[in-house]
Amino acid sequence: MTAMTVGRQVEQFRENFRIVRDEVSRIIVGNEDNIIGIMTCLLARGHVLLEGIPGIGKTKLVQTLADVLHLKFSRIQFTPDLMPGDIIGTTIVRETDTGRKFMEFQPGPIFANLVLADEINRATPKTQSALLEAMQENSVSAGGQTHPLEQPFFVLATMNPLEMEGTYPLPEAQLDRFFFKLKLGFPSAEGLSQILDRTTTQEEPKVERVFGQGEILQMRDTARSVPVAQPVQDYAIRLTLATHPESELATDLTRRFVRFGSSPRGTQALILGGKVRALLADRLYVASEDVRNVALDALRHRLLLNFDAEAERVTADAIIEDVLQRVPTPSA
Amino acid sequence: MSDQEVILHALAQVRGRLRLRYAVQDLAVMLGMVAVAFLLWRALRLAGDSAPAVTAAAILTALLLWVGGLFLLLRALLVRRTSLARAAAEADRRAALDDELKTAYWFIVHPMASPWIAAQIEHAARSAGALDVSRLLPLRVEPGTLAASALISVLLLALSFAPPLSPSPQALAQPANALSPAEAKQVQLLRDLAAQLRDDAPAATSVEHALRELQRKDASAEDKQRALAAAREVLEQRNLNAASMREGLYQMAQKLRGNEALQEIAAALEEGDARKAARALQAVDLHGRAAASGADAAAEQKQEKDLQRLLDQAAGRDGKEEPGEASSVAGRETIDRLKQIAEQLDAQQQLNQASQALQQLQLAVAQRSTMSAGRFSQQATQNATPSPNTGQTSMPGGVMFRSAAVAQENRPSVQQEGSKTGAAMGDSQADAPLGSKVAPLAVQLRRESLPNSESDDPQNAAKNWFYVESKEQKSILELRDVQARESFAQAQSGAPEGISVRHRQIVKEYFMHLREAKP
Repeated sequence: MTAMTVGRQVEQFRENFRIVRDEVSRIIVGNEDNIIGIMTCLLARGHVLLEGIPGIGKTKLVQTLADVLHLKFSRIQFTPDLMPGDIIGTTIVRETDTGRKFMEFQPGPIFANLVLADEINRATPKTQSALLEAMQENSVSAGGQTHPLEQPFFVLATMNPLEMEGTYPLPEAQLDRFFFKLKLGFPSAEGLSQILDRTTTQEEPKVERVFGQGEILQMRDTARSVPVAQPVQDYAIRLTLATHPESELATDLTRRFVRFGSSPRGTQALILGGKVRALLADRLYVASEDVRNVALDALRHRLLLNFDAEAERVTADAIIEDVLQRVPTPSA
Repeated sequence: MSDQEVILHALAQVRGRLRLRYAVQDLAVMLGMVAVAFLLWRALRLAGDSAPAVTAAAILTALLLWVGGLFLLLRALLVRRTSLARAAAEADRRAALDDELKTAYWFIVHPMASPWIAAQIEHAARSAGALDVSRLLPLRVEPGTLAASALISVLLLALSFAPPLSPSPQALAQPANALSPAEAKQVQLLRDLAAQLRDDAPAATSVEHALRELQRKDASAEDKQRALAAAREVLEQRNLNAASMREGLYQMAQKLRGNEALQEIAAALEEGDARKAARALQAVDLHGRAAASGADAAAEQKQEKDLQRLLDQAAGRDGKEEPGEASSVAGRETIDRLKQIAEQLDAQQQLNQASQALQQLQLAVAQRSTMSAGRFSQQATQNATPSPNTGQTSMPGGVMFRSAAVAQENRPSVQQEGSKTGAAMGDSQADAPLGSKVAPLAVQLRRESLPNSESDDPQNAAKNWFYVESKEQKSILELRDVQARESFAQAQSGAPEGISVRHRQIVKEYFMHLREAKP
């Protein structure tokens, strides 16, 4: 492989990315950053947690992405009575023509490329944890057997920020397995007008399936190939350490309001997300700016805040922004 | 030239430029420190000795600033690193290359076989080759530095041409002949007066001493002030003596008033013209002798008595000699004494001028000295409280004599009678201990006996008496008590509200309850 080949790969990556983004934007109004965030997660082999109030288009966004990518899509509506078997599948007794009975695993909806876990915080923690192995190991263990999941395997979970009856908080271990946590904001007046135009007429816009599994895997490989210089990697490490209250690099806000800082998965997310962002910025290396661009999405759900933060209404975003402001960049 | 060489060459150029900029920056900082030091030095010179505490604080601040600045400069010089990595970071920052050169330099230093790294270095080489180092790191003075330089220059110019806030010690040590023309004229006047004051040795000595101090080169302002004040005090004492002479003449005039033959003398004495009085007395004496054989022996006798009394008083005799024999001798002595008084009064006028000249000189020296304003006012301002004895008030420009005004009043003034201070000094009679009527203690107190004592025994009865207040004494005390209460009540009710202190709380509570009781 030569430098020219690398250049072509990068070009192809950017072109594919642009196609997907444009296609999704035909249905989804606004949320440009969230579309990029979801695509970044997909290409960095991560999973994404979408947070937003009901009716804001979370499910629609995921459905559109599945349509565009020509991937096997399944949707799981999380409810309090949902059982783990309803997600991963169950082993049933089957009988052959000869009358011999045998156990057969019936795969659940998790056996798909794109899994939409809708309102994930409505299910019990037991059911939520059924996703843990699948998200981390890309495999499912049932009936004493391990069933690998087909690649790409991408979980998009949605959750409501509102505290409602019958919801359960996501365990920290579950949260940590999400690569990014994206927040969907309410659309502007102009955005609302466009939504009405697209959804209240006879013909609703339709998307085309632009490419499928192979292209996605190729793009994933390209993203992983981007080199990272040690100073930039050190910067990502310093950012992560600055979220730990006991660290020497911790900021004042961190020391006051954070109970536990980001896990190493957070640092991985910074670098991997930075790689995708570097390619999108037509760079063959990861710059500190790329790390900064993904820091909020990669770290906000990995900070466990203390009671003081809740009492003073200090959010994880505010702490991360403070960390980004105070930790010097490699160029400084 | 390979990609790596292109990058390293560009980074070396950037590093050289950075070093040059740092050198210029350090030079500017050093020049700034020198300029600030010079500025402080000029400010300290301007402040001079007028405010020693401020001067000390300024010196301390300047020293601290210097030490702090020096420390910061040394620290910056020691800590500063102008490596290629630093140059790469600086170039990335200034050319908005998003860590491209820094990453490329790191990959050059830590080589790895990867087509991605090769592609990155190739791309970075193109970026490095396109760098214009002179535009990236221009050698120009920053606007802030320019503004600071301009400000310091303006301040330096202003301080160079600004007049000093206080006279320098050299100016204060100038001799008297370096005074202004008006002051020199006053000094000359003092010299003349000192020559005329040869008869009055203490006054002449003090004025001479003051003049010597003024002309002495090494005399401090304090010494000059002290000498001038001493001379002035002596002259003021002479003024007081002269005033007392005038008052004596006035009193003599009052005593002679009513005697028609001596009216002319009384008028002259009342005017304070002793010379004229002496001439009038001389004329009366001659006329009296010529008319001694004439009629109206009774009137002549009265006139003779008055004149004799005047003569005795003027000559300081007790008046027990025979009138006929002594009048001629006493008359001559009195005339001589009046002439002497006239001369003394003339001299007093000159002394008064000298006193004023001394005051002007004192003022000039004080203004040029480093004395504080409060202390100067203490020295320059005279005591304006009238003397309890004479009623005279020392004022700038002379002494206000109140003797004539006091003498014309029907009843004695406070100054004449004496204040409490005067009473304590024995100048006036103090209040009686009990009541205005002075009576012996035995009269004031009534002797009483115990009512149920064994009065049979006369010896014991002598032991059973004691002194009690008399009725008069008791009533006086009660009267004073009532008067004191009345005056206290008046003083209390002197407030704008017209309510005594005793009743204020009651009134206040009444209105507060009234307000609280409202629904």
